[in-house]
Amino acid sequence: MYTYPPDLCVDVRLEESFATEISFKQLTLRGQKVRSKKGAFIRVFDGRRWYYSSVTSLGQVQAQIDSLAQMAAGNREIRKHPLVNAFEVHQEQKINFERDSVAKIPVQEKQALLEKIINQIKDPAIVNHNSYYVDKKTIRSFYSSKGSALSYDVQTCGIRLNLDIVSANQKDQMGVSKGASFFHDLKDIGAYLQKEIAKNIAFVGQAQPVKPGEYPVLLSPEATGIFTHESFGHKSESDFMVGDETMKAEWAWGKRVGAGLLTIIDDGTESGNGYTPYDDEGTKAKKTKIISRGLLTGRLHSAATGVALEEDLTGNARALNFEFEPIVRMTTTYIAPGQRPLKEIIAEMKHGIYLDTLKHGSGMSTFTLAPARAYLIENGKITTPLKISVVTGNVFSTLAEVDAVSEEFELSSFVGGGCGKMEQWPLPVGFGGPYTRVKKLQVQ
Amino acid sequence: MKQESITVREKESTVRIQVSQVNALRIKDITRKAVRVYADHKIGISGAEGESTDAVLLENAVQNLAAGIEYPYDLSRERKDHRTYNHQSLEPEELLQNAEEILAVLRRDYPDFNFSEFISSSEVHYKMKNSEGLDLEYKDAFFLVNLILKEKTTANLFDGALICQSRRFEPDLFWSFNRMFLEACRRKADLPKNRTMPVFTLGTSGILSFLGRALNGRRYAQGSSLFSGKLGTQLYSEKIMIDLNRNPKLKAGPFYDQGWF
Repeated sequence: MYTYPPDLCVDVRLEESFATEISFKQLTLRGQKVRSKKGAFIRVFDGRRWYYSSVTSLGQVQAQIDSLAQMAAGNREIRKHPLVNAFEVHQEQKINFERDSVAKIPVQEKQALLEKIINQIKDPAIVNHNSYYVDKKTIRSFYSSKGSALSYDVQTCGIRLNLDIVSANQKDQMGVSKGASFFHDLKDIGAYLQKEIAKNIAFVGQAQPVKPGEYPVLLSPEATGIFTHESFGHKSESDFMVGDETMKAEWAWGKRVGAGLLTIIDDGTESGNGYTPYDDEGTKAKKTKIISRGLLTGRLHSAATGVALEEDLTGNARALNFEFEPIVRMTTTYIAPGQRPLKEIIAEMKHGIYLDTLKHGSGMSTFTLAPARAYLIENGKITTPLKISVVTGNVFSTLAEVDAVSEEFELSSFVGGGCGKMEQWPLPVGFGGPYTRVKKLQVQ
Repeated sequence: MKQESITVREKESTVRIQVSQVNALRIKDITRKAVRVYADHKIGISGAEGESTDAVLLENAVQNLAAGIEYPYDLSRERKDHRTYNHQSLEPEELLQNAEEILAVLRRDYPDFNFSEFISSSEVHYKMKNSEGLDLEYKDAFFLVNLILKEKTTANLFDGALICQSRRFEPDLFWSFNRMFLEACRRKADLPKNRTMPVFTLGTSGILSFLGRALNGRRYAQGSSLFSGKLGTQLYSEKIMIDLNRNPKLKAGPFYDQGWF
């Protein structure tokens, strides 16, 4: 397809995406955007340094390969370079969304779905709302001088409602969202969204300030997912370890990093926001057990970090889009389900806190979770809604404090937001998990 | 039917850095186009990144008129204004050389830290035209040093950041603040035991983002803003002044996307 300079390693990633965004302010249509994007990201490696180019003119790809090759230093031994050796070679077309492509659905049908949902927003406590339908389908193709020729597609769609709620003289902004891979899976989400809206209105009107302190905390699947992503997921991205002896010593395989009931997995083959059958340098997606029964057993790799740390590639080199190079990112990351029923876990909590939904989270060695809806647990029952600004803890001590994991398990599906890492934000990722109890966390 | 078009071309060179060494050189050339059409107080829009012809964009925008999105406003008209705020741009090879010089000093003077992320040079060329005689263009260029630092002896993902954005590549500007910052990183003090204490910060973006939402006119009028009904009330210290300022000398973009200055 392209002519590659013989003494350099080259790969080309092409992206063609279709996206819709329909927005309403209250009941008034404010936007109906249908967009197409085309672009290419070209990488050239000479054994010492990478040279990248990102262009929106696909006719320029060969010229860009040639131009980058001029900057690079030719290397006759390039094929023997450990990094070049490590790149996987695949030829496959994995197109899953052609028949049910969101691009084939008339925009009027998408708008009608959103209108049907927002016409049901009638509670006077909602003084203002902005509502969105969004979808995106992307076809990625990948070609390399080693012989890869890949083409695959990813697709998401969903609805998000941002609500300004005034209830019992209390004010707050809350959001509800539901996402899916196929448009037809959105057609019956109205009841779910209504239920979530009702919970939010009741919460805003009734929530009491929390008494700051240390509490046992039960995390919902959504909260477990964000907690896992922020508290541990980012630490398992191995680009932070390359060239850093302290980090290597801290993250030795086999080290106990969590309670024995804890298993954490990253899996790019899982359907949903984090689905990517190949990563952005052509490595096939894998199911990686990062923690197995509390022991560190894996980490997430690009080809470069895998080679630097002498470990297998995991298919986690991902780029936000064709404007960026792939870096180590999560795909769908979750705590594996346990064997205890949720009812039993709640029943044995005398005094604690339940985190139902979150506004956002962040984390390095210390992680923070900002709850949207949280409740007191008293004598085995979820009771009073609580206003909590932040729940925080140390990553390692918290993982060791997990003392119950439910058999109930759920991966979150939503639209809006995503994972941020340096300049590349927001990358779609999947998360979720079981209900997870932590013996103690700081709450304020 | 009235027509309007916006074209934004962004060119960027970025030196990617990993563990205080240059890891890659990235070059971008991205063009984004948008077309708006107006008829009967309605607006139709379309946009694309990549190779999309003006005719296709116009056709899509005309089709979008059928959505019936109200636009009962006058268009900006009969104004030609072309501006260039910065003529300086660096070729990728020059940027690479400058980055290598900064990294050499960091490695020599601060070997107890690792530095990663990027140093970039960006150019933007923004064009907005409409059928009512509007013809606006501006060109600008920015340099950004954005390095996260990590102490070699910690197991943190990172311990801080060195950031410097300017219209001209000014290493002295970068060093003037960041040398102080790096020296301070070497002299950590324990936090006082007080429960609360004064905080000095340059990081006001979170507060401004909150204020931006709370001072949204619609929210204010509908009572969901924390400030609703409090116009003219003394809420904070008289020393606090917050202005909305689109002075192009301070920030990119002399005009709004409706063509108003």
